[in-house]
Amino acid sequence: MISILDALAAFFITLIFLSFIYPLYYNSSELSFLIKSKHAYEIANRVLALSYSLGYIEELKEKLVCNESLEGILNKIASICPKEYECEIFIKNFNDEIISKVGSIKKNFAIEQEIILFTNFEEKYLLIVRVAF
Amino acid sequence: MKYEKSFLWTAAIAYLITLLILPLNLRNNNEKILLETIQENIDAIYLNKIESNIVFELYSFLIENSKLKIINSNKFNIQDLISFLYLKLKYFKETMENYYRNKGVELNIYFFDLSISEYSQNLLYNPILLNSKNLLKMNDIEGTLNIFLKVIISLNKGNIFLNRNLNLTILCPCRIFLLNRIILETIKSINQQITLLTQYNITDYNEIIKEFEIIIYNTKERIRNKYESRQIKIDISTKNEVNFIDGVYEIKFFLSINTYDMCEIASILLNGKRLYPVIAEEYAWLILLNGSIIEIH
Repeated sequence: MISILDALAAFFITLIFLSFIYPLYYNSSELSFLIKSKHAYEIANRVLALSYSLGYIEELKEKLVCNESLEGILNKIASICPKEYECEIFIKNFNDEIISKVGSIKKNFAIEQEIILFTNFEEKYLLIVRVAF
Repeated sequence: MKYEKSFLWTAAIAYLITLLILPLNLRNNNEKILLETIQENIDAIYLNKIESNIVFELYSFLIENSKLKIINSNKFNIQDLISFLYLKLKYFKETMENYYRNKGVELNIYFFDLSISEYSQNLLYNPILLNSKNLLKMNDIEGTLNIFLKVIISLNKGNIFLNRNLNLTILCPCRIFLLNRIILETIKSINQQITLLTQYNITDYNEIIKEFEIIIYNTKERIRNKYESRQIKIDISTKNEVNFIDGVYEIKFFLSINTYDMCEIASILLNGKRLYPVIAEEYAWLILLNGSIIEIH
């Protein structure tokens, strides 16, 4: 026969047990989130580094100076992003206005990496790569 | 008896739980360390991105501003170019530092020992940086401008520090040393031919002007033929002035030479217009004709 005291003891022990388990569960979800975002950061970095070394950034700057359509070159940059990831590439001026954008993200989480571009000597822009995970 | 049983139960469960929780707790601590490590990795990735942003942009920034200065000044003056670039570097440093400081990164950029020289085969270039400006395609690089710059980049975010000490060797696709040599070659050639005029028996100043025009025309054609295939354009314009003072004709010849590097890679786009690097020089001769005696100054 289980007494009330046994039941109470079991209840409190369960509470103590749960208080230990909960942060553990919470940490695991945070850990998986961070691992995924780290991977997304690496992808965004790779997209930016390759865009520089392939001369895409130079082409982009020329188009910005000539006021030409940026979609083609932004698509070229977006094509560096692995197919299994959703990527958005956009250009902003320093007044935070989006000048051109390609790609779309449907997932809930995305990281953002940006670089400053100096064009036409005194003008500055931001090239932003957003990778969803 | 009842209480004794519940006490035993409690103790047994507490013992079991402790056994279960201890390794779980250890795992929890490990995960905390792992979380911190991954966060630090993310910060390190972010700092690497900033570093590459600075290096690539600095490379492009120095090339474009050098071209701009050469196009605007038309002169072959290395010291002026260095002063101009230092001024521009200050703006670059402030923009980068302020932007990334607002993003929570402690960034300091220092520039040292900016110098300019002519391209030589002994210089080593970074192919990735060259390709970022489409410079790997360049085949005629004689007389090209070289920029050397020492850069220290110091970055800090959270527990992550990144310090880089870079020696940048930048190939600026602008053949100003060649343009300057063409000018010197042209003036030297004209000067030599004009000097020969003293050996002729000329008494009419019109004849001297005619001879001068022939010399200019022939030199212009020769230089043009020599450099046209290398996408170098040469413009020569002349002007003369004749005065008759105390029985002596004073003939002043003014020569203006512009040499352009017509390679598209050397040009800049400014307000939708393509401009090419140019070096300009002016030269003058004074010829005194006294009877049949010619003096050249």
